Amino acid sequence: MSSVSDEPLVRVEGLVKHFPVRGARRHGGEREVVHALDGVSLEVRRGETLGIVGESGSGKSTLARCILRLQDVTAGRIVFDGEDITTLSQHRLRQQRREMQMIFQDPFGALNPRRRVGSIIGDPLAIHAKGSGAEHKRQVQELMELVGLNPEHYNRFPAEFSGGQRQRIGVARALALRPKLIVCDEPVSALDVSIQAQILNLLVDLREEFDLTYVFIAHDLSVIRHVSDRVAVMYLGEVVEQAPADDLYRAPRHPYSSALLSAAPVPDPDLADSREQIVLVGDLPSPIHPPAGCRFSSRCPRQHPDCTVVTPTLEPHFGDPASHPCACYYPLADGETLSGEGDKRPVGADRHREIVTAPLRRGPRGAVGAWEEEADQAEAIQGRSPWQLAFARLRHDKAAMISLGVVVAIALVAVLAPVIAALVGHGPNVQYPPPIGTTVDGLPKAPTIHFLFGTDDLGRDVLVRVAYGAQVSLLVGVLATLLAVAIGALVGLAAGYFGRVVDTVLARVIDVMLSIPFLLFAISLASVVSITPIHIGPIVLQQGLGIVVIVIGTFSWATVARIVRGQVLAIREKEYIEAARSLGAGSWRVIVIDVLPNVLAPIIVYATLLIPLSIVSEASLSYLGVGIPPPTPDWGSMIAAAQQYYQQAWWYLVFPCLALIITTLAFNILGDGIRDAFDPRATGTRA
Amino acid sequence: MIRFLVRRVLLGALVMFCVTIIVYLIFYVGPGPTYVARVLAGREAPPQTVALIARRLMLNRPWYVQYGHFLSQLLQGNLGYDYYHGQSVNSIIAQAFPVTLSLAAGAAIIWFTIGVLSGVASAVRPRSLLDRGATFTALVFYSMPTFVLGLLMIELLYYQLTIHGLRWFPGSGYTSPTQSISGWLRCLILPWLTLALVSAAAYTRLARAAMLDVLGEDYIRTARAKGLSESRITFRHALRAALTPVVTQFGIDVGSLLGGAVITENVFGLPGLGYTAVQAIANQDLPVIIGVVIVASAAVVCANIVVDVVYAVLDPRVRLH
Repeated sequence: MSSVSDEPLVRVEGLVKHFPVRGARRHGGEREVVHALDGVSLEVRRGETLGIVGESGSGKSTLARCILRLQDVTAGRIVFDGEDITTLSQHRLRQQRREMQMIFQDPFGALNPRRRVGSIIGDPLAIHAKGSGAEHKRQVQELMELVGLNPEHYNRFPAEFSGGQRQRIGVARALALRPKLIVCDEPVSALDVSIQAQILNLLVDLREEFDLTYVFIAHDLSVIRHVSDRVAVMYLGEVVEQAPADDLYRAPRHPYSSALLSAAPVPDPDLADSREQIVLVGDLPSPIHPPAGCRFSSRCPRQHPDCTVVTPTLEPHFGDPASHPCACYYPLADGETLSGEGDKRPVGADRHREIVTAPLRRGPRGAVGAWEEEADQAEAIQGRSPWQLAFARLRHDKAAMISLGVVVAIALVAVLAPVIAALVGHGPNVQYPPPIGTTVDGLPKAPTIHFLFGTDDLGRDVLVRVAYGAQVSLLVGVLATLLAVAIGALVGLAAGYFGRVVDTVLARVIDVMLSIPFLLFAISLASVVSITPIHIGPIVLQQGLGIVVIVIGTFSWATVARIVRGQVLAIREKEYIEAARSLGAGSWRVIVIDVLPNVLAPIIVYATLLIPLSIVSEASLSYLGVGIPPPTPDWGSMIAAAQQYYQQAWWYLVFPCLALIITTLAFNILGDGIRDAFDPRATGTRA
Repeated sequence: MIRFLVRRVLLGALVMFCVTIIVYLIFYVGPGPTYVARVLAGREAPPQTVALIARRLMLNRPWYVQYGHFLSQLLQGNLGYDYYHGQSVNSIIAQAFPVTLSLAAGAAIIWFTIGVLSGVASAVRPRSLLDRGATFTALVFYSMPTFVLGLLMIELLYYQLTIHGLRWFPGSGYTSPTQSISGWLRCLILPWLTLALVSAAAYTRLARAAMLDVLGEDYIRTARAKGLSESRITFRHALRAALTPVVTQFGIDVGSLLGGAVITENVFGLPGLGYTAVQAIANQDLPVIIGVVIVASAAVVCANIVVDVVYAVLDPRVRLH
């Protein structure tokens, strides 16, 4: 093992972390809390690996997050490298983070699926270190080689790697800044056993190469034994025993440690049969109301009445060195087991090591060269992003591609409306007098070779007006959607990411917006300005496109905000967000780089479906006479005017209606296609 | 449960408070008061008359004074009087609400039936001709603005039938069921169809997606393995679970419709809340606008509460708090 000095790198003193219980009633004015950590004290010396074991819910991960100040502590002190970081400001803390890094449990959750591997590994460099992009790239590729990844896979995406490779990516990211401390939170428990061994050996090798200090959390005792110099056993938020690894495995003092060790599987059937297993009764007691006195007393086979009176302190027993304290009044002597049958072999055989340390192929720099098998596939090195994949799927969706064609055609009609007008020789607002434009009775004239779509009641060319109407519809549809998406995404991101008060307030605002009868309000707003323009300072609000866009956007953003908020709330819990924070990224950096790209897909999908909704809203407002004022050609107001002539002039009504239906239908099919492309597993609503 | 109801009702009150404040602000920031006084005074009236009318209707007071007055009246259950005829807003709404209720209830029954049945039929045989046909039809209606469908209905089912001698439906107007049940049905069939077809489309899509989700669940496979008939699986096991999101949407939609189907009522000339509101907005008749807006927001708020309660009943895993 590497050089372990006596000087501690991390000193944790009386660490307490309580989580308030949501919705719990207050008892005597005091809110109920989960006692995640209660008075944990320990030291991690430079260059050593401290293993932390305990069952689920014992507080291991909370301890890890508190040591890195990813969570604020309730009480106690954390001293890192001589500096008390317990109350360090966020800004100073971010600086400090370059010295302490974390490797996460879930190799699938800890890497942002929408970023390239090179950018993930280079994230710490981009956040902290100066230097050019090329310099960073070189460093990242060195790191990749170091952890046994093919540096040419720099541009690939996490989804293109196996679980073990992804964990190597996590290791590389943690190493990028050459930190002093790396906290490994169950780094191998999500991997299968052969891969576990590779990663463990990689970690051990790296520790020697870079003088690292590890805090290594696991529930697998053989893993802990393989990597740790010292081990701390946790139970229900407290450290119940600490010892050099070999001592603990040879002679566990605490009944809980002994029970844990007996539960570890032994890879030898004969030995396993001869072994005594101690099955603890019951589950971990509630951390909200932990048992009085010794917390293990409720499940301890050696429990005495006095165990529940006073909490035992951590101290050595049976002449153990000071390095092996145990918090128990009735500790186990050497060779003693919980059932009292001293002749049985102490649990946890030496053979465990064999699985873990089985010889492995080693790469050029001492790391395991898992990438070698893939070296022959070097052509496929340019990774395909989720965007490219979605786009490829979309391209194979015939209905969506046809709709895209229709949308483009409508956009062309809108842009080329003046050209169309010039070609047929009729301006959009030119009124042809009877008998050319209307009948002698003043009625619209049916389609002829001159007026392909007929004329309207004022003798204007319906074809040209329908073409010009596309301008208003598309413009309002797109602008109102942009406005709604901009406001909605901002509000949703803020509410979802910051949570707490911000979220409560914004969520209420969203609720109120969603309860407002949209059309009534839109009409009132739009009709106010249709009577007279309103002057607010230098701004003049008057009937027209601007007010329609504002009104529709104002009433549509709440839905976007609700969708984005929901997505962000889900993404916020992902490990890659915590990973970014543990690297020292600021809030806005995390939002922009790690959160936003992952909510972009639902935003884009909803935006595509919001465009036809906005087009319909605009047409409805104009139909009711409060939208786009005449004589601007607009489908909604054309239909409103045409309905008085539906008995005499079907063409006047039908062509603008068709234009409207075709436009919204095309956008809706396209939107469905985009949704299916982004989420191919979704059942979709289209066959 | 009680806590849940109290919280939701308070939140609802907050919503209605915000909504009415906004309506007042829009009216008073906008040209409302002057407009009303001018119209009442007549085109040629001298400014003194206009000022007099404004004073009599209290239009010259600041908006918060007006709002306070409105609130105190509201607490006594009085929504005020309309500016032009002095008619009580309570009675205006009492007249309009049955029309809107008839329209919304009938349309809701039709669209729920069509939507759920076509959604289930599509989901049971995904990618079949029936599924493709149903989903495409649904998408077409979904893309169709209500007023477009309404006008096409009038053109095809009223005008074209009428000129060919089939006077089945009136083109517009409303007959109360107390006058004539058959007249009531006839005047509402086209509006019902219009509203129902536009809304049913969304339900077809929703029900199909929910059914497909549920049909992929393991417990459906278990049900098949037990040897249950397909129809029993579809209706007893799958539909029940798939209905939850559909029912949620249904409650919200019916709630917002009860505040007035603005477009449908205007296309078919039905004197419901939406029609009343549009007239009132055109005249800047604030008391009537506020009356309709209050009914509309109350309907949305109530519908949301009912939806949450029904949700908890349908899905025992959901708890209200």
